[in-house]
Amino acid sequence: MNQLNNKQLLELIKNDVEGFNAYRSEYTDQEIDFENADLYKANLEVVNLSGANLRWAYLVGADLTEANLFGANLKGANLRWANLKGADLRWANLKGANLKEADLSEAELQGADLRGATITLTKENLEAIKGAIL
Amino acid sequence: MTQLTNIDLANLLKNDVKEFNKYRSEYPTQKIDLKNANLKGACLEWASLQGINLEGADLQGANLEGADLVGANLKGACLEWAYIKWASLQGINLEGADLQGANLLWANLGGANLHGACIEGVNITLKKENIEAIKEAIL
Repeated sequence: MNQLNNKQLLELIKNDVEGFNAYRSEYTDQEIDFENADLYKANLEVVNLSGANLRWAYLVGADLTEANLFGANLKGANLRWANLKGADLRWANLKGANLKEADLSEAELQGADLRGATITLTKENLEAIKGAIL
Repeated sequence: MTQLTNIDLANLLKNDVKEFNKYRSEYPTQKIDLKNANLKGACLEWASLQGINLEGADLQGANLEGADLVGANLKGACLEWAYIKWASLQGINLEGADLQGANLLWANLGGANLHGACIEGVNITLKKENIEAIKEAIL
């Protein structure tokens, strides 16, 4: 596969998560920049967005079940109603992110920066944020 | 303004928050007891409720955006689905209160007592003092 720019990658991720993951394993050093990207209700189950820039991204209602968001920058991202069940959010930057009504059950958040983020209190969400920076 | 009774003050609060706040600045030392008051769905934005006794009050669905509730007693109060955004809640007593589904975004719960309070579905801004305060609450 030829190397793609961020705009092309955004189209790829919206339509073919498997293809996007395959691309990432081929171009491991390429930085993904989806700042301000509109991924409203996108189906991103098991997507590999580790280390990606998703600052201020619009991820309302997105399905990020078991997504790899290790070290991703999600500062100010809107993740309302997002499904983050089992997602890897370790060391992610979630400062000021909107996580209202988001499902964080079984997500890993060790070392994630959640300062100023908003969440909806449930047993599962509180359990998930235990190792996060508050 | 002449000094008002608790019953008059409850009515004033329900009908005219601005006048209520004015009254409080005129009589800052008056102890206000609104125990078990029915304030369901009341519009109490930016109300000066610091130190007031609202034990057992019904504030279900009330709008308390920006309200000053510092040191107030809301033990056992019903705050289900109440809108409490930007409110000052430092040192508030919410022991046993029902806060299910309430919106507490950007509210400050530093030093608040939430022992036994029901907080399922509450929207909250994450910061150390808020997390510390909800430790004794029930989910």
